[in-house]
Amino acid sequence: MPHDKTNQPPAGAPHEDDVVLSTRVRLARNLRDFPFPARLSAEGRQKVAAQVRAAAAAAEDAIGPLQWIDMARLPRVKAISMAERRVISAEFACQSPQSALLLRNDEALSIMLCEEDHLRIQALCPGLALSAAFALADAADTALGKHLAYAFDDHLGYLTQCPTNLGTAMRASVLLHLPALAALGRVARLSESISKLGLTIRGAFGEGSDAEGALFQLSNQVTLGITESQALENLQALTLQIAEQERRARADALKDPQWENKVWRAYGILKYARFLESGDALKLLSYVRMGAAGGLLPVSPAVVSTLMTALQPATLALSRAADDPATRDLARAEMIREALS
Amino acid sequence: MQCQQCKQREATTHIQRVVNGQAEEFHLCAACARESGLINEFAAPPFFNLSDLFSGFLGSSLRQAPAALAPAQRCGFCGSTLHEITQSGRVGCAACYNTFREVLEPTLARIHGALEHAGKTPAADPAVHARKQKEQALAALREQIAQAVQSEDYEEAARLRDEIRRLEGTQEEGGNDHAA
Repeated sequence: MPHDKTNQPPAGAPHEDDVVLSTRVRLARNLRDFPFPARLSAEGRQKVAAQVRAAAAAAEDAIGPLQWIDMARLPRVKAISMAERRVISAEFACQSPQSALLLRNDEALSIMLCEEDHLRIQALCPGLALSAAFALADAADTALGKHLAYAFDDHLGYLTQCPTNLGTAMRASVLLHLPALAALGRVARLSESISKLGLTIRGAFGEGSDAEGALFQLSNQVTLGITESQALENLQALTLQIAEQERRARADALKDPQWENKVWRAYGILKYARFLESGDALKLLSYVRMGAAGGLLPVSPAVVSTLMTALQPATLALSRAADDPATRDLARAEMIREALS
Repeated sequence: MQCQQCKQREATTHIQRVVNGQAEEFHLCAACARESGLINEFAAPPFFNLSDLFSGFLGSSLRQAPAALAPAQRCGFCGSTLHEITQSGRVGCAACYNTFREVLEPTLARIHGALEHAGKTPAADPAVHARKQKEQALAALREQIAQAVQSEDYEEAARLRDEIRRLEGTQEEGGNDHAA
């Protein structure tokens, strides 16, 4: 099998990216002297925004320059595309009254203002990179915290609008591609060991009959009484374990002519199709990604991962100037053909 | 596996939760998971529909709550009532956690299985540092008092008790200062 543990990825390349697409760490923070967002007046929102903006400017040496984006002025399609790229939450993209976003140029660091909490500090990295993502979010939090009076309680930790988040107020998650385990129905069985570690797993996309594209999100659930590093260690350990199981299941699957057929068939359709609906495309790309990671197809898994995001409706509408669904299906097929040829 | 909610689609969201030693498993499809609020990863999982959770949990806490904390009592800072918090599943502000602490804590313990923060503390908050020190001093005094009582040194125990009262008094002031 092409994935060899001793064969470390070259420096700078994402880790475990045959199975792990990306890693995200979010920290929720609130300002002590303002009501939480649900009870915050318009005037209060402006004051919170002004304080955070000033703090980000003062902390620029530590966290680098961040772009200030007034969400009310951002076209909706751009906001939704950001959510598709996992830069902001879907709720924040559609939120009313609208708020502001602080964003680093490479989109690895973002701070949503007055989403469910006053600040949601997010770090996003490709592949499995829990330490790096946490370090980025943590550094931003520490730098901003020098200029902001956070709502904090000795016993309850960082206070949040929703009591399920208080304590570390950290949600770390990895986006996993599990086509073989999902086909074997083994994702459900994993949930037991997952819950023992205070973690949870769910389908990342789709409302249809299965997790579209076999993409799953694994994240920590418990936030009080556990340190950030313990929660991250649990998540790391389980991610590696699941990745190993998925690799073994893929290796077995690809020996089966039926599976091999599914992979080549998906590749053939994607290479020549003229219309592709997004759910359909995601499903086919999932097979192609598996074949690519297994060395069966002449495509790199990274290209397929990029396509999985690029084919989403708003992102596609922006990149290909395709506004209505029919034009998008045409543009989607064209984009995928280009990438695979 | 079938979604246990709609009993039609394939379950793709799997969660197991242990509350007070009782394990519960949930297998939901994406649509039902989304409907129940799970789509926001920060939100409570569906079976923890917060208003239900809080009505249920807080309901039992409320019955044992001191009369001073009636459901209509308002937070001095943001004006939230316990009733509103119960209904919305959202706490109004940081001060609410102090105002309604007695009622909220048993509920929080049931959600998290713990009541003591173990993680990061704000870097530049001397007030937090002072509070932590006070707390440690109080814990030490309480231990001494137990020892004094055990060795029947009641004079010493009384002295320690006054010391604890003095310390606790200053903590109360410090704890409420931003609610005023």
